[in-house]
Amino acid sequence: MAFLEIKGIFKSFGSTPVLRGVSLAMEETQILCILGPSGSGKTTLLRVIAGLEHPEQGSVLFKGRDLRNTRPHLRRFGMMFQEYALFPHLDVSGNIAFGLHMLGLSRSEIAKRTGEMLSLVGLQGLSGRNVSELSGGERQRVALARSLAPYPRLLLLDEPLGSLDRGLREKLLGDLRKILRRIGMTTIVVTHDQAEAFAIADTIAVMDQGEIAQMDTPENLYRQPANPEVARFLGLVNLVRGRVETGSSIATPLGLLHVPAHGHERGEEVTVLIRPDAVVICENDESGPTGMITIEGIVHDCLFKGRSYHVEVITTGSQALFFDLPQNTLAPSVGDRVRLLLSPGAITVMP
Amino acid sequence: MRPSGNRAAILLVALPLAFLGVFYFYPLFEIFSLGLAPGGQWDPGAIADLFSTGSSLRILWFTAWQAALSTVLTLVLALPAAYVFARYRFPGKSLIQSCTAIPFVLPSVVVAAAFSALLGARGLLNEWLMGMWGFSSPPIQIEQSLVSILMAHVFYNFTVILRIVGNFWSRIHPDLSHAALVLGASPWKAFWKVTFPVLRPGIMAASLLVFIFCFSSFGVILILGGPRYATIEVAIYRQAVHLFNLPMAAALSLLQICFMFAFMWVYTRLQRSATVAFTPESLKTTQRDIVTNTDRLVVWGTVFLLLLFLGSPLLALVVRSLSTGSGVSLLYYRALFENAGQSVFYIPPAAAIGYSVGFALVTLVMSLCIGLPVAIFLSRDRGLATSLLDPLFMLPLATSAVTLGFGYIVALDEPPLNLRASLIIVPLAHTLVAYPFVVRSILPGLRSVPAHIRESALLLGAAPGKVWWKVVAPMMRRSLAVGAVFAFTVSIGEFGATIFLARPEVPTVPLAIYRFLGLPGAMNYGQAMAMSTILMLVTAAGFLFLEKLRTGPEGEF
Amino acid sequence: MMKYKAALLFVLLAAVCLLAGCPKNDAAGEVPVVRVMVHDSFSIGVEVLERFEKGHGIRLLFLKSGDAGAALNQAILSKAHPLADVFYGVDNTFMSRALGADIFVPYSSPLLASIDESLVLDKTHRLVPVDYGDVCVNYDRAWFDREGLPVPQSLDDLVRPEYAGLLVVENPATSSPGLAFLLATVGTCGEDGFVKFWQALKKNRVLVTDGWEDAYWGKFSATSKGGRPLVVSYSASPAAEVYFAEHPPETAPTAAMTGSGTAFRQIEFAGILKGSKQPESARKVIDFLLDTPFQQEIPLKMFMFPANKNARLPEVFIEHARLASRPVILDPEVIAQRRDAWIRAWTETVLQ
Repeated sequence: MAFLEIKGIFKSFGSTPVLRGVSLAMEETQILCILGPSGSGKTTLLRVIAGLEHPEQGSVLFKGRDLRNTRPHLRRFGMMFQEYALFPHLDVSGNIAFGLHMLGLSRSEIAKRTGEMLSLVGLQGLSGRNVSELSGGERQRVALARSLAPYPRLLLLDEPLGSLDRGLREKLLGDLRKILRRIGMTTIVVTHDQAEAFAIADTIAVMDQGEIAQMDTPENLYRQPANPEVARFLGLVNLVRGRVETGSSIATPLGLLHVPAHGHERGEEVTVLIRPDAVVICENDESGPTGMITIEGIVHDCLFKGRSYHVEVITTGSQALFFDLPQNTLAPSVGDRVRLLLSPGAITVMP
Repeated sequence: MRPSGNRAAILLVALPLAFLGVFYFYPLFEIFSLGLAPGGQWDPGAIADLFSTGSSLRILWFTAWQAALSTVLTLVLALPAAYVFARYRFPGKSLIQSCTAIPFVLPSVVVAAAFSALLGARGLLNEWLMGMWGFSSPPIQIEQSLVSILMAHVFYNFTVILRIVGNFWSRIHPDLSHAALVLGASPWKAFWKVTFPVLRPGIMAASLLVFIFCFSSFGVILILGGPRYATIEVAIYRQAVHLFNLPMAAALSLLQICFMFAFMWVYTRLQRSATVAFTPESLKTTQRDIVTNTDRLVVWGTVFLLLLFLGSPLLALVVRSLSTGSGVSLLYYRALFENAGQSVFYIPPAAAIGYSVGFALVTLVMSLCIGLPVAIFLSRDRGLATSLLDPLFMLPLATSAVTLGFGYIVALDEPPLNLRASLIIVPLAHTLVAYPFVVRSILPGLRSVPAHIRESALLLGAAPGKVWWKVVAPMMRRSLAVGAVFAFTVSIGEFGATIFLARPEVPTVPLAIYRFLGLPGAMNYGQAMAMSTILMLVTAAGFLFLEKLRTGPEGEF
Repeated sequence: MMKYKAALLFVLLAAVCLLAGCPKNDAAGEVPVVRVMVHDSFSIGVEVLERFEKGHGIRLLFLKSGDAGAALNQAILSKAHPLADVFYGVDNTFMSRALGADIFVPYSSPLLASIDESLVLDKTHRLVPVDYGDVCVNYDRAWFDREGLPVPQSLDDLVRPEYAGLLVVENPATSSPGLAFLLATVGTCGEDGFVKFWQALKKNRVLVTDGWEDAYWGKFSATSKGGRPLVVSYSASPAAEVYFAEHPPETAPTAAMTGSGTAFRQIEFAGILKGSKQPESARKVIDFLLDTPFQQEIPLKMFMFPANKNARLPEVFIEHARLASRPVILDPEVIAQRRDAWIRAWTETVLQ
């Protein structure tokens, strides 16, 4: 029996369907990240789990028990809202203690727990501060502490870093992951940022137009995206249409690509994904080691990005491909004709 | 506070203070000295009388508790509607919301007529109940009772709570109460522990207006309550007009003013501790469309009840204006356009509407000019000055119309203030009762804008004046619109002072209605009803126009 | 930008409205303007006024100042800088207050010769009678026909059980017909008897309203959904019911109780205010108010009887308006002295 199981959720606002049969399951202490572009329905899914929205169809099961008739305040889930929704009339510790008061704890227990939470998120000394005087990062921490305080069974985070600036995000992301891991909190995080998802999640569920397109570990997801949409959303943009010729070759505008054991039927239309990093550039005429695929093209743009060069190549089939070359290679100049060597592992074939 | 800030603050309130000084305190001082110091000799006899019999204190007690009860009732009934209007988008919303202010403009005689047509001994409801259930006598007997007073006060003031609290509520992110729910608060607890405290400044501002309005209630008490009930306002009128006992009237006015000042001072202290800083949200995030069946039930159910309670008395007036002795016709409306008696005082309806709307627009402009600086000044907490000036600026609303009217007669009779026969005196008097509505509509929102918003705009290089226009003003535009609607409405409906001050050839619509009611005869009554209907339509049209102004091309904030 | 345009439009609109509302003071510069302070119920026809203004080269500016009591009080309050030259609308219940305040100057108009002698209460002629009427009980004819009940004839009838719960009166503390009716009961029952009469009336479930409007339009069965077929109004009210009917009926829907001792005669006066800067013109206005052209306007404009004996009454008045056969007339001096006490006694008896 899964810790949390979601079965066939349908939800629409007026005539616009937002969730179209979403199902997923997760285990205790897991951190699941729901990743998707804005408007994909991920926030709605989170609110359905919290009980703030009622699905037209489907059910949310917690340890096998249907939550249909359990109202939000009885679910004992913690939730952190997009803009944090801190209570403006309460100070920092008042916010954190709110859920504890609702549990009916004694004054001393509340004070103790509030103190624990403040030190967990590193905000000791701010307890009496007015929430309107807090910085963005501090607000995020207060919101986290508030949702963790009343011992929730499940934590729901809606774009926890969404409204913060970039530098702050990376620091807080690390802190967030450490905190959640330390206390072993079962968590669902909703985000639109794949880097954030990869950084924090055990499992990622990619949502697209109200459906779960793929759910897997970050590694598997990156290696084997289920379809071009998922790939595109993960930031993998080198997608080429092709047709299966044999069990180990596919015809594409780039030429016949040698892909062993791709597992598709002969004659099938497929999309070939070329990973941007597993590539070597060679300027002489030598052909690479056997098994390597060769692509020719002209360098259209080359951008130095610190750790790597971001190169745009227009192939002979006039297809634009983007690659990241390690910064210790010799950078090509714009206008150069180059040959690119790809290992077969850099290629994924999708339906 | 830097000296330049102080100077700016003084400049800010200079105009409103000058206005109050000349058009409120000076006339008041003159009439008080006439009443309490006849012939320049201070005579506290009347004030001693006030406390010797105890009847004045009984009147004060009744005035206060009926006002408190009316306020609580209005609040309880209007808050759910305010919630619906704050949280949902639905067709016809702004029109319905505006039209809830229509009762505000109707003379109380007309409202009383509407109520008795519905709930009177031989009213619609009683006849239906008697026919349906075979009661031998009318089961609803509320004429000349406290129940009538309370109902009428709710009827009049519903819109104040709906608009001010609704507007404030729509700025609060719904996730606040969601957060409370998820943290384990039941919906009821979530309301009391989170929504209510955040909403409190708005609720307090609106309640204060309702309380003052009911406290100084006059027509409703006289007509719907009957002669057994008297507020201080009524007592002042009796003393001043019928008994011409100026000392007693002045003493009662003083009692009324002192009580209100003390009350509002306490209120100001309470409100200061209640103010909560939060970033106003855009309506896009706080309001949603009607989607589920529950939404539909909640929204249309509320609208239905609203129309039933506020709309049916109004509809009764319309029906009455159309039903003539020979069936449904426009007879009374046609009669409005003829000067059948060739009277010098005949006023074509279009002209009366023109005067009413003209006075109302001038009042609106003046109220904004006075109310806006006052609100800005009061929003920047300045300790003692604010806590004393805040109640001071509200006093005109709580002052008896007849006292002030007599004060104008005594004080404004010499050049350069020889305004008694001038047209401007009507909008001046209206502004005194209208601008407090502007102040209270703007203030809660203005106070809740967190300092960091103003500061962040400062950092981006905007000078303080510009900060206001670029950052705060857009947020306040809706509140300003609410205040403007109230100023307009208050002016259109004002009667107590207008009847003293308006020149007979320039009557407002309520005065025209009153003239018809002054003579017996079915045609007169019919025309009064027709004129009332026209007044309602004009008011609704005025609201639509103000709405149009509000939603410019940039849309609502 | 749109916003500013809208705001500009708005201010312009306000200005236009006010300008349109501005009365045209075209002749104000050349013709002397005489200001006449009147109460709300005053009315006059266009033709009569114009003829007078043209004939004497005067313009009249009327100032309406609330009901009779409020208007008089304002005149008294402004006596240092009079608002007007002539005041119309003091009645005999307020007369002593007006004379006591010493705000009028005497003027013995030649037209007093044709005024009904019994109406000239102020022998110094500071206040001259313009019109009068009787305050009495009106009844709903159809109601009494339907119920088969005889119409009450005297004050004593009103306290009989068959008329229980039928009468609505106005509060004498706030309404001038209310005060007039109280005075009628004082005049008829005597200073000792009137309290007892009102006690009986209260037992007979009399309804009290604060103003005539609410009594007549809100509680009277002939004009509203109110259930009471007897109301205190004026003896000329039935004529107004006919005159202001959609189709004037043969008989009025209401009628007045005009039996002996059931009505109080209310007389309305006019006078020249002390401090008037144009006493000459003010006298002309008094003459005008007493002369037949205006006097003949009074019945259909204000539904009162003209004080001038030569004034012809209109048909509808002759037909439907009655005068009481023996109305109560009290000395204004006595009224002034005792009014507060009577009202207090009444309030204690009826309202508490």
